[in-house]
Amino acid sequence: MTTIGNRPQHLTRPVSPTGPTVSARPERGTDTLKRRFFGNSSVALVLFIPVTLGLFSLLVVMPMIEAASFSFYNWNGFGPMTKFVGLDNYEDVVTHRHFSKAVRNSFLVIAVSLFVQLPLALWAALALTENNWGVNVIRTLFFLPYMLAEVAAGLMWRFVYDGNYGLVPAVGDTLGVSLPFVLGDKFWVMPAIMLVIVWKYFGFHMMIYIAALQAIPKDVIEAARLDGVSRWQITRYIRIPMIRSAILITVFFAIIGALQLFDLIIPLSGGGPSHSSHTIVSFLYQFGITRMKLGFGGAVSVILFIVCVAFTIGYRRFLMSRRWD
Amino acid sequence: MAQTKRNKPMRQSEISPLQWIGLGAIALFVIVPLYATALGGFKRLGELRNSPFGLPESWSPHKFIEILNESTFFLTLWNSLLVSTATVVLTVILSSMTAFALSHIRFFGRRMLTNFLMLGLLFPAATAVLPLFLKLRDLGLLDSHLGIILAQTAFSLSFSILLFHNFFKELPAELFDAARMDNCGYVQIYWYITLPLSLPIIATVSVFAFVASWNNFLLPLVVLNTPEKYTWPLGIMQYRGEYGTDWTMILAYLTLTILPAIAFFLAAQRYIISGLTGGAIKG
Amino acid sequence: MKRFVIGAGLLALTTVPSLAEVTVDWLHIETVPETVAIMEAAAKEYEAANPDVKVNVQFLENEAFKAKLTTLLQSDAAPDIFYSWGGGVMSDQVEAGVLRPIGNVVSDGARQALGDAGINAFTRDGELYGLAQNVSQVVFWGNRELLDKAGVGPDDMKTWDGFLVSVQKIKDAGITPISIGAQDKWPAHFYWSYLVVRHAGQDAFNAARSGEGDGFAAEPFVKAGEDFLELIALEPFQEGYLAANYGTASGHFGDGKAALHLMGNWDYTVQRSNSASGDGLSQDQLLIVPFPTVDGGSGDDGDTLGGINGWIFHRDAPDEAVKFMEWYSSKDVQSRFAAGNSYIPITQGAADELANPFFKDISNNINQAKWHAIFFDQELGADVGGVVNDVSVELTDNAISAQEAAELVKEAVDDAQ
Repeated sequence: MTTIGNRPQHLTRPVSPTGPTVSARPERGTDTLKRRFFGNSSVALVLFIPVTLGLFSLLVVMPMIEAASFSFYNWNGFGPMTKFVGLDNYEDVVTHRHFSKAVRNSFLVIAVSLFVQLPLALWAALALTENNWGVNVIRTLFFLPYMLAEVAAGLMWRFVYDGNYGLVPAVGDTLGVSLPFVLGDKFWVMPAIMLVIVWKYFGFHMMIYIAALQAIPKDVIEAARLDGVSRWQITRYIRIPMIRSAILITVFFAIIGALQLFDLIIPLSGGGPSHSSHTIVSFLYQFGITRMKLGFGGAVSVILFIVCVAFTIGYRRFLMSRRWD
Repeated sequence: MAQTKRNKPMRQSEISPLQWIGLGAIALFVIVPLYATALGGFKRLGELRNSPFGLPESWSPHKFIEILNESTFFLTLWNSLLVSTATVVLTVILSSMTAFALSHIRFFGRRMLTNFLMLGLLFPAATAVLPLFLKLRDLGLLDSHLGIILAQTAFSLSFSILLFHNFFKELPAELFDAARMDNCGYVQIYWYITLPLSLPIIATVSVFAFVASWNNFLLPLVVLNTPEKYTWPLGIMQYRGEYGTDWTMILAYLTLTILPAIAFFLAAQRYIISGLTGGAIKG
Repeated sequence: MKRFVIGAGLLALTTVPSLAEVTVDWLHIETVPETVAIMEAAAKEYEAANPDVKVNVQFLENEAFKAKLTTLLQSDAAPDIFYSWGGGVMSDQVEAGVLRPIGNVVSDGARQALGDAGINAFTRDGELYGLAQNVSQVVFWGNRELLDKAGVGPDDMKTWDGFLVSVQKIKDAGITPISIGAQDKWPAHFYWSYLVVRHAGQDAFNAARSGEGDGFAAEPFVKAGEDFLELIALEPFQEGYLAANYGTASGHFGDGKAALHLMGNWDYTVQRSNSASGDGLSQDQLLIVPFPTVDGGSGDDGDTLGGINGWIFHRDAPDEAVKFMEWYSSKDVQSRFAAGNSYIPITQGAADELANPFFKDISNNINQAKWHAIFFDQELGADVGGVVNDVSVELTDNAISAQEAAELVKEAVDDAQ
């Protein structure tokens, strides 16, 4: 600590407010030299950027580049990569008989995330913005599935769906019909998985919405109310537009998250029956990593990466163009 | 709580009956599998398969006690807590600083840097595990908590920076202009103005980073070799070995391990919900 | 003063290990507590007899072990001794140079005790890389009571045609004929593989795996798929079998809800622990039926499908690790596992101690077999083996034809070369 001079001291000085007052800037007596030093934007940049950039480059970007480079080799993960195969892995991926199904499933997951999960999360957030004991409990409950490990969630839902002892056959008995073994049924397996996805992740989006909703100045809503604007109109014309950036970011997360989804699939269905429930990444995991065809896995990763980058750029463009109205 | 009240005459917008019904339905949907898990810890294996949703025949907590007596349970929990907390702290510090610089300081290559830092979201992490492992090996960070902490932090940066960035952009510009006029430097603005206003987003990012770290399985699995350093998801793996397929034990273990995560969430929630932002912006 | 104390402590620390100079890390995946107890006792015993060696017993759960192995082997932390199913996965490891050849350490006596089959299973290019431990065979486990009820006996199932008739009979009696955990895939591959063993035989199989002629698309392999499809046409499996994993299927059989279960000898204990009651089927309630023979197959009727598992050594393993395993493989130690019904030891003479009559039969079957085929998903490596598993499940689902199944396996072999 002492070697860095008095910077830490300065930075660790107790921040007076945990509360919100803005008056908490440094007292007048602060040494001018120090002030000028910290006032300089390049100093702030030197403090704020390099560690993040270094860590990120070293442990995220470089491994990714290496993984991408596997895609040009036939490699099983052991020893040196020697078998250069050009674009063969890419050809193997796109012509793989289960690839198109995995792509289709990933898009299904996107659709459900956008059209079921996000509206549900938004609806719940709008209902649960206030702070009181009851709301707190409900909010915590809704967020609970997100806090569970994917494996745990997968195991739990396997119980629910179990055709012999689970909830599904119990419901079927009550209704007097025999329901299918959902995870063993090519048609039902995807709806079943999507239900779990909604269950597990809607709380995540809800929390983002709630945080944004609470940042809306209360007097705006109060004023509207005093003017006799109806609840629905307040929601429609004030609250939702004011959390626009939160909504935009959750749409981004939902789509990227759906494209990267895999750790729920493995414990739930393992991608079955007959590979009918793979997503792009569970496909990658199954056929690339567990089969030790790292070149194949690398090729899927690169393809997915390109899709994600294209989407991100497109989404940005779209948002930019919308700024004008 | 007091702060929210200070700002305005509190007008509770009560939840309408229709909303209550909807919320009730969602709550049921959320609760059923959780309920089955929590009760599963009290059941016998046969009971579990024959009546997964019924009440257990006996409420004897002997399985929970057995797990708590197991010397490795608290150890793995402690390790997880250590790793997750360090990850959260490091993530919050690094990503808030970087996001601050990206949103408030104009510098050459800012946009490019922002884009670069988003790359982490776009590439499937599962593929990068092997090269990441080799990196950690070369850095001598294998079989250490530090290795996991650094890797998890690195992987949560993209997401956290995005959230912080989004939040910082929304902070009223007048605040910064005023501070600049007062001859405040960027570092001081960050520390004295931005951070205190950012408790909700800090809490949010913390919770997300904590959950991701707490539940991470693949990374600790490949990095850690010494059982004494195991985090809880690895602990449960050992359990699964020891008890074969005794699911009731596993469900009891799951129930016990989710409790600290809930506690952490409840602690952070106070900040998420306390409406600090609203008060500050008006103040 | 304080520094002095610390120094003395350090000195003490550094002098103590001179008694136990070599630590041998031994990584296993055994989960049955009784078996683990025998293993740990053996390690202790060896340590007592060899004070300069410390055996550090480590455990990883099966799936975690597989997920971690690739990375583990590329670090200094790799265990000296670890479990192996042999086969193509081990060939890859040998090729990558992560394993230690042990031929110069293992004595002739130990080689003889493990027999040709044991030695061959862990030899690559003339070099010995591991010590075999146990053998296993896949058989039909039968529920005596249910089979009686359907009027079917083991003799009725000697041939594939007879087997199909029996399955139909069981079904007609209102009983689920076969339990299968198809979600895990490998349980389904037993059918296709065994039929390949019967139809193609060892020579054709070896020709196919090296890509000669039509490879796996040749006639006997297609025939294997066709035979399998004949069984599928009877809809012999329990409801929801595609969503069942091995554990579920095994418990289903253990609960007496299906008449037959095609599985390795280990299912004897697993069906118990997975049953709802925890008791499963007792020895008297069980019987075993060898896999049926086929008409006109090139394979010998006595050929068996199963595994030869054992222990292999990391590149940096010390001689002491090999010495320890050699001792561990001795008849004296392995007999304990036979007596405890842990597994069927490969060490000659050790299997005499088997208390379980089924295990005795199986041990005899394997000894008499001209070809003990190793599980195809192991033998052919993770890659081709994975495809064998895939097509086997897809056959049960009628998702592909026998011809397509055979061609997909051939393609995978071609790709790998």
